[in-house]
Amino acid sequence: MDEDSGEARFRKAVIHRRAPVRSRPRPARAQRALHGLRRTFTQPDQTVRTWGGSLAPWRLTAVGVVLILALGFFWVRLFHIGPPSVEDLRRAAGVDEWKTLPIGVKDDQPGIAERDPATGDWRGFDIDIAYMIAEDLGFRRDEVEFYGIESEDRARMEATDLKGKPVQVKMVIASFSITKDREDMPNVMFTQSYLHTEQSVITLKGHGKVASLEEFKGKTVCTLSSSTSALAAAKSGARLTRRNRVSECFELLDNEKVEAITTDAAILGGYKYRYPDKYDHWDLGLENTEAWGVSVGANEALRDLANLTLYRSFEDPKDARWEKAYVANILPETAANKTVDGKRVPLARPQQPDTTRPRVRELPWEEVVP
Amino acid sequence: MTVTPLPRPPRRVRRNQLNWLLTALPAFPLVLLVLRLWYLSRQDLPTMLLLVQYISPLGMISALIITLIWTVPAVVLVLRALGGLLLVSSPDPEDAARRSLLALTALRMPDWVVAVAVVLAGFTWQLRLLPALIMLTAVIVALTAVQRYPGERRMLTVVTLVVPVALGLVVLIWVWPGIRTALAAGDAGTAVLLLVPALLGWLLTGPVPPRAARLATHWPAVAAMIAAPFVIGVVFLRAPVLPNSAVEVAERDGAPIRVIRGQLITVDDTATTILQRGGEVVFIPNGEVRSKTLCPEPIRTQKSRITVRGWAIDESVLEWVAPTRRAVDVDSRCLGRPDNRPG
Repeated sequence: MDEDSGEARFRKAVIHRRAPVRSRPRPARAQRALHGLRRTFTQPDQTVRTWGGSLAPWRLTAVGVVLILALGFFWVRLFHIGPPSVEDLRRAAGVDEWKTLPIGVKDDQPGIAERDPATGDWRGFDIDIAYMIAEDLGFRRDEVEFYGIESEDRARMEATDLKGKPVQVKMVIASFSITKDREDMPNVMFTQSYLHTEQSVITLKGHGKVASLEEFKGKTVCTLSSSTSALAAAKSGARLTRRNRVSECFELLDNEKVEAITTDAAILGGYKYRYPDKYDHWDLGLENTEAWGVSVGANEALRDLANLTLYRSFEDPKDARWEKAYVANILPETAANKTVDGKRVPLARPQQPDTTRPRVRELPWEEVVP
Repeated sequence: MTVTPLPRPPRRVRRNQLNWLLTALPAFPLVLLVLRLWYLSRQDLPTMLLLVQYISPLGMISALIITLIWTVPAVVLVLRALGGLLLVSSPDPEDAARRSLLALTALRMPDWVVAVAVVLAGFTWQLRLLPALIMLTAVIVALTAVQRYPGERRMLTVVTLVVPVALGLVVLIWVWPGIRTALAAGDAGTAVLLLVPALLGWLLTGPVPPRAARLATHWPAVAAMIAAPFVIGVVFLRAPVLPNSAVEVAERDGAPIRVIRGQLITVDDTATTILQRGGEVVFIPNGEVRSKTLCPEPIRTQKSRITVRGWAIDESVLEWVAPTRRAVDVDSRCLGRPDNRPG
C-alpha cells in the first residue's frame, strides 16, 4: 500500500529551491540564536496538531499492550495454550500402548460386581461403569480384563487373578468410597463420583427392628476391613469383626457368628435381592453419603479421561449408559429391599451424581464434550 | 520558501482494488452458509444436497445474523479507533489517508455509523466486553476531538484526560465485584477483560510517535482483516441452524418405544427426516412416530457463575432484557428415554 513516487518528486523540488537561499549572506549570530529560541518556545502550527505529544511514547506502549492482549486471547481461545486435548491426555496416560485394560473389581457383590463361577461372566453396576470408561478409552469388551480385588488392596491397585497370582491393574472400580484420607494416600487418585449410596445394616430374618448402629453395642458386627463403614461401626461401640470380602461376612452371619453386617447399602441390597427370605435389610439414620469413585493410581491423565466419560454420560442427552447400568443392576433390587414394616431401604441415588466439566481443550470443530 | 507539491497521478490501482473487494464481500456470507451445510452433513455430499433441498435460506440467514451480529460493531469501532489514532499521529492526515485504507475509512466514516455501532454493541456484547466498549467509545470521541479541534486546548484536556479517567474509575467501581469473583474462580482471562480497559483507556486518547504510528495501527488492522474471516467462520460453524429434537418411535402398536434424537430436517406427508449427530440421516414413517419434542441446545446450557452485581458476565443486555424461558428439567425423551407419562 506504500507508494513513494510522490514523495521522491517532492524532495527534488525542495533541493532545487534551496539553492538560492544558500547564496544569501549568513544572518548575524545573535539573529540566528534568536531564531532558534523562537523556534523552541513558540510552537508553530505543527505542534498544535500533535496535542498531548508528551504522552506519545506511553501511548505507543499502551497500544502494544492492547495488541498483545488481544492476540493472546484469540491464541488461547483457538490454539494450543490452555487445557490439554484428548489426544494429549491419551498420550500422557499411555493408553495407546496398552493391549488390554486390566481393571480391579469386586467379585462377590451381586448387583455391583460379581463373577459367575459357572460361565466366567462378570456382571454388575461397577462392571457396566468399567465397560463404559473402557469403551471411551478405545477398548473392546474382550480387551477389558477384570480381576478380583480385596478391599485392603485397592489403594495398592494389586488384584489377584483366578490362580491367585497378583496382578497390577490400571484402574480400580470396586465400591471405593471417596474420602479425604484416601485421597491423601500416595497411590490413590479418584475420579469424580459415579454413585452415591449410604451405609446400612443387614441381619438374619426375624431379627428385631434396627434403626441405628448403637443398638449393636456389645454385640459382634461384621464389616469390610479398611472400609469407611468400619469407622461408624467402631464409634457405635459394637464389637467389630473385619473381613476382606463381604461374602466372608455373610458366611459368618449365616453361621450366626455375628449379629449383623454393616457396609454400603448398594452392596447389601444385592444380597437381600438374591435371598429375600434369608435376610432383613435396615436403613440406618446416618447422614454420610458414600460417594464411590474410580481410582486410577497416580495416572492423572487417565483420571481426566475417565472424568470425561462420566461427564459425557452425565451431561450428554444422547449418552444414557449410566442410566442403563442403573436400570439393569440396581433398580430391580429396590423392590425387594423393604424392611419388615414395608419401609423402603434406600440403596443408591437413582441419578448420576453431579459431574463437572473436566479441563479438556475443545476446538470448535471437535465434539469432545457436549 | 514555498513548497507546492506536484500534482499526483490518479490512483487507479487502489480504486480498482477497492471495487474488487466490494464485489467479493457479499460472497463471503454465501460461502459461510455453504460451509455450514457441508460441516453439518459431515462432508457427505448426498446428505448436504438433502439439506440444501430442505433448509430454508431465511432460517440459515437468521442463524447467521443472530450468531454474528456482535462482530459488526466490533469491526466498525476497532477500525474507527485505530484509524483515528493513525490520523491524529501523522503530521499530515491527508497524506496518511492517501497511504492507508484504514485512515481513509476512519476519515470518511460518518459519525452516525459510529453511534449506531456503539448502541448495537451495547445491546449485543456480553457483559465482560462492556468495559472495553465504554472505554473504546471514550477513546473514539477523544480522538475525533483531537482530530477536528486541535486548537481548543481546554476542551481537549477535558475530553482526552478528565472524561476517560473518570469513566475508567466508574467502570472499575462497577465491575470490581466481578473482578474479585473471577480471580477467586481462577478465570484470569475475564479478570483481565474487566480490568485492563479501565486502566488503559485514558492513555489511548492522543497521538503516538509519528514514526511508529503506521506500525502500531495500520499493520495490526491489516492482520486483523486477514484473520477476521477465519474467526467469523469458526464462530458460525458452531452455531445451530436446525432445531434439536427427540422423536419417540414404535415400529408397530405395542412394540417397545425407542427414542431417536437429532436435528429435525423436515416433516412431509410420508416421513419425518432427522439428521443424527454423527451425520446419518434417518427417515421415520409418520405412522411410527409417537411423539416429538424440542430439546435444549447442549452447548449453550453452561452459564458462567461469575456475575457483576447480579448480571452473569456471559450475557448481553439484549439477553438480559429479552424474555427468556425458565430453566426447566430436561425432557426425558431428550435423554434418550421414552416418556412414561400415563395415557
